[in-house]
Amino acid sequence: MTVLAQQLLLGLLIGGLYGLAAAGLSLVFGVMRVLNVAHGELIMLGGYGAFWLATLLGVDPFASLALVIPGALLLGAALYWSLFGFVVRAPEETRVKNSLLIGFGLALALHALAVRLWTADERSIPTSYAGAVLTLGDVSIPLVRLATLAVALVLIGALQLLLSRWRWGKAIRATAEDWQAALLTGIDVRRAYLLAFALGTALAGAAGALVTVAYSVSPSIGLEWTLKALIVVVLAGLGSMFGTFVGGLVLGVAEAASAATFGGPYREIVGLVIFVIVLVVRPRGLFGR
Amino acid sequence: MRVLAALAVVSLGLWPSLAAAQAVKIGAVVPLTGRYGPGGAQVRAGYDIAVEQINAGGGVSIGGKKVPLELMLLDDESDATKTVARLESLGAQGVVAYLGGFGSDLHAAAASVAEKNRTPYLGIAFALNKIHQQGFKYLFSPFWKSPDIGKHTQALLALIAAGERPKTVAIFQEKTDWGQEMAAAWTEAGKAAGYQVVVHGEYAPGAKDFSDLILKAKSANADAVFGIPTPPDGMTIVKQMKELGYTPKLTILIRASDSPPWTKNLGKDGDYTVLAAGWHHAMRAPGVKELNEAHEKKFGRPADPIVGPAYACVQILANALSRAGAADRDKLRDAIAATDMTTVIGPVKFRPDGTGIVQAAFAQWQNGKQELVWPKEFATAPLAYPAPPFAKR
Repeated sequence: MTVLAQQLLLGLLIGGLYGLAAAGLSLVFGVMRVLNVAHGELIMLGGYGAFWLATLLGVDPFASLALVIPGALLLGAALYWSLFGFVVRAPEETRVKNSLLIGFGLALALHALAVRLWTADERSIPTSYAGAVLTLGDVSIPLVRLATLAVALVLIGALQLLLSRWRWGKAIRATAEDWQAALLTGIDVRRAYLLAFALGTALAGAAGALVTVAYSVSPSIGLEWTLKALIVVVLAGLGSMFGTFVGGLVLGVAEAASAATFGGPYREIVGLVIFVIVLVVRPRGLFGR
Repeated sequence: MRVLAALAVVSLGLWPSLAAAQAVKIGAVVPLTGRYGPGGAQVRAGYDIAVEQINAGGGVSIGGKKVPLELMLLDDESDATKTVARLESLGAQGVVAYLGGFGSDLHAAAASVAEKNRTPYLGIAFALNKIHQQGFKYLFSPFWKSPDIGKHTQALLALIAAGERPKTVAIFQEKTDWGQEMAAAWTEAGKAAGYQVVVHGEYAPGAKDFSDLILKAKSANADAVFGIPTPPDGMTIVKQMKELGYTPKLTILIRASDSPPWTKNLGKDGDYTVLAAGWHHAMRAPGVKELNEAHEKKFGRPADPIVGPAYACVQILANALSRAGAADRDKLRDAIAATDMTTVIGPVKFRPDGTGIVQAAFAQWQNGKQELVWPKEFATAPLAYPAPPFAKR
C-alpha cells in the first residue's frame, strides 16, 4: 500500500512539470491558434539557461528562474517578431498548418544550435541538496521534485492572476475568445498575440530550468516534451491555465498508476490511451470550454 | 585570377577519381547527438586518432604501395532510421568498409544495410549477440557480447570475499533486444555466481520515473542492481535510488556510465557504479601508450573506455586491407574474417558468426574517475564494495 502511495506521489510530482510544460503551449495555441511544435526546444533552452547560470556563475537553479524567466520572455518576443508574427497574419484555418512548418524548422535550428553551444552531452545541475527527502510515514518525498511542483503551482497561479486582473491579461483572454470581436472593441490583437507568445515562452523556460534540476537536459529532449505537453493540452482542453495544470497532474498520476499495475513498459501507453479516449468522448478536453 | 582559382576548385571537384585513386574511403556512421551522443564522441575520437596515426605513417600498404585512409564520418542523431540512410549514402559514395557507431539498436539496424551492400562492417560498443546469429556474413564486432559479459560478471563478483558477495540481484531491464539478452545472461550467470534474481522489472527507454522498479528492489532488499540504461535513463535511476533511500551494495549500469558526463552530472552519487566498456586505458598492449598520448593532447585525459575498441577497429581494417592486397569489399571481408592480430585492446580473432574473441574488462567509478577493477593483472584499483549509502558519501 505504501509502495503504491509512494509511486502515485512521485507521479503527481512529475505531473507538475507536465502541467507547467503544457501551460505555455496551451496559452499560445488558445490565443493565437498557432501550434508551436518547437515548444519542447524552448524548454530545452530554458534548461541550458539554468545550466549556464549554475556552472558559469554558480547561481542556484531555483534562484536562476529570476533570470531565466525574463530571458525567455525576451526570447519569446524576439521569436514572435521574427517568425510567428507572420503566421498570425494568415487566415485562421491556415495558421496551424503554417505554424507547424515554422515550428519544425525552428526546432531543428534550435537543436543544432544547442549541439554547437553545449555539445550533445547530457547535462544536469548537481546541487548540495540533490536527493534530500522529506519522510512522511513510509513515504519519502524528494525535496527537489516537491519544490518543482510548488514553483510550477506558483507560476501557474501568477499567470492566472495576470490573465484575470491585468488589463492586457483581459485583452489576451478576449482575443482567445474571439479575435475579431476583440479587434472591434479596440483591442490591439497583435499586441495580445505578442504577449501571449512571450508568456508562453517564459513558461517553457521555467519548465526547462526545473526539468534540468530534477532530471537532465540534452539537445534532443525537445520532442518528448512537446509531445507530453500536447497530450496534456488535449487532455485538459483550452481555456483555463489551472485546468491545464490539473491535466498535467492527472497524466502524471495516471502514468504512475499504470506503471504500478501493468509494469514500467506500459507507463506511456496508458497516457496515450487516455488521450485517445478524451479525444473521442470529450473533444473539448476535461476542463475545456 | 579569381576566375582561374574558381575553375581550379571546380575541376578538382569534377575529378573525384583522382582522389579516389589515392585514398581508401571508409564510411563511419556514429551518433554524435541524441541519447548516445557522449558515447558516439568516444567512438569518433578512436576512429579519428587511429586514422591520423596511420596516415602520419604514410597510410596502409596495399599491394606494396602506401595508401592513406579517408574517413567519411556522418552523424545519425542516435536514430536508427537515419543510421540506415547515412550508411546507404556512404555506400553510394564508394566506401570499401563501414565503421559502426554506438549502441546495439543502431548496430542492429546497420548490420542489414552492410549485408545488402556486401560491405564489411566493424562495430563496437555493441554487445548484442542475437544479431550475429542471423547468418550475416559482413558483420564483425571486436567487442564482448552479452554472454561474455554475463560470464565475466562471475569473475567480477569473485573479487569479493565469498561470504560478502551479493546474494540477491535486481535486474532493471530495458525493453529492447539487448536488454532482454543481458537479463537472460545475468540470470544464467547467477547460477554459477551464487546470486538469485529477486526482481526482474522492465521499463521503456526514456522513462522519467523508475520508482516502481526501485521500490520493488528496495522492498526485496536486493544486494545489487544490474542494468544497461542509456545515459539519461541511468542518471535518472541513480538520482531516484538516492531519493528513495536505496543503495545497492553493487551497481552495474552498463552504457550509461561509459562517458565522463556520468560523474559531471551525478558527482559523488555516480561513484561505485561499475561499467563494462570492455577496455581501459591502463590495459597493457602495444600502441596503448601512443593512443593515450594522442588522446591526452586532444582531450586532456587518457583515452576513454570506448576509444580503445574504436581505435582497434581501424587497426583491424588497416591490417585486413594490406592482407587483402586490394581495396575490394569481398576480399576485405575475407581478410577481416581471418584476422589474427594484436591491437590496442589486445589479441583479436573472429568467430565464424563475426563476434570477436577479445579481452574483457570491468571498470568502476571511484572519486570521479573510471578505475579498472577487473581483470586483476591490469587493475588500477581494487573493487570498492560494498558501496556506502548515498547519504553518507
